[in-house]
Amino acid sequence: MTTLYLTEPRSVVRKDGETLVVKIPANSQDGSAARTVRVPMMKIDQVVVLADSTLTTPALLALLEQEADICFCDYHGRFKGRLSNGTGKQVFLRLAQFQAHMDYPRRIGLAARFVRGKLHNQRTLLLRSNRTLQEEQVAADAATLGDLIQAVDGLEVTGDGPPDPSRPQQESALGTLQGMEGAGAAAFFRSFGRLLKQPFPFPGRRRRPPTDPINALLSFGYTLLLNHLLSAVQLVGFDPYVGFLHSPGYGKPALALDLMEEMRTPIVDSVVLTVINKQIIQPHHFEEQFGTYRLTGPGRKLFLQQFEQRLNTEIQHPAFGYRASYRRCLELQARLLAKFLLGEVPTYRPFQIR
Amino acid sequence: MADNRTTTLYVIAYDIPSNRRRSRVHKILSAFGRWTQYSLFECFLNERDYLRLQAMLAEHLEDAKDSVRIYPLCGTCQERVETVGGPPPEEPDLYVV
Repeated sequence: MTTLYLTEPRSVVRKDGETLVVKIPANSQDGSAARTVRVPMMKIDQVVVLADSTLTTPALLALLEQEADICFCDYHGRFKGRLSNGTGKQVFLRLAQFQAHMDYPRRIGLAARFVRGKLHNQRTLLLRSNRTLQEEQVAADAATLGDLIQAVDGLEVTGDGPPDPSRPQQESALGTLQGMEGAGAAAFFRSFGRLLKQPFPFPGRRRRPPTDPINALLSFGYTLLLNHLLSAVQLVGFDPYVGFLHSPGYGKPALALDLMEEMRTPIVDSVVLTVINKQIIQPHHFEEQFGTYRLTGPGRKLFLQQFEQRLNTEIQHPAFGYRASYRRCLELQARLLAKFLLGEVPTYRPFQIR
Repeated sequence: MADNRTTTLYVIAYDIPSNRRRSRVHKILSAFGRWTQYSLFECFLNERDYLRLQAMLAEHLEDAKDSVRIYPLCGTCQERVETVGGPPPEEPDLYVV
């Protein structure tokens, strides 16, 4: 499993035999000369285009042929779309997915599992960091998350849908669940700033656009994670646009977003803590424009390295017991969900770190 | 997303008099691993890739004139590789260009 990130502006990617040749033009801004990089193609499972690179059609076709997918993001790291060789042939899985989506109690049951996983992992990160930090506020926020987990576990689903379909959030189990998720996020991000040992201000989570360096890192990390989950759900054969916790929306990859909830903290939030607390990323790695922050080229490469390292870290899988990389865990969760929907296992267990 | 692949490190050296065939072989090997010295590659391959490589090489080589030598390295030998100048062999899982 190898990912190729294209970060150089105006580079051209051609296919030459069995290799990809990346031609990078000279850059007058930082004085770098033109260069060519060769990448063995058959090892590549995913290409992430982070700049205005050009891929020739033969290169794209060869990548699709070996079932690699190509994700396009704009310069800021916002996900724009992806090219893959189809939704897969798992018709029965997709039928089961749609049926579970239409079956309200079943849908909420699954949505509650995703929220539970997310809250659990947020709480674990706070508790773990607070062992050395010993701050009252962090302890209090962890306790709030603990209460929310109990509330999610005790959630009751009444009726077979929201009372008012035009306002689906109001007085419904789904609305309550999303409220609890929001309360959890508020508690988590209130304490998150206290875990950062650098002079970076963190006013809480701000997106679209991120108004400070930490939020820029979080947004970038979540985009990368979403790319990986989109690949995972399509690989297993799901329709990525029909989810359970996230309501359907035009072009909104709801299922990938659902599965992302339990993975955000162990993968992205913890990498952001690492790069800041180990001073891998420093203030000069950001540039500000009209009040929004983004990573510079070198900063992006440093973050990508740490992010990939995290994905390749092997852990004992909390449910299955054997060792697997985080990257593999993403796919395992998608497979577990498929098994649950097809009735092969009795419950879906979210990915909960210890 | 392929499953956890177990790979072996192969050191592949070649001696080919014809320029045309040599560059062909070079191109093929570039797809499988890293070019570390003139006419020497280091490739991390699983069984499937190894067979594929053999098949692709066989298409172009002339047995009477060319020679290609493929040395597999076991896991413990791999760790004991020493290099002077240049990095030790490693399997990249990330390319940032």
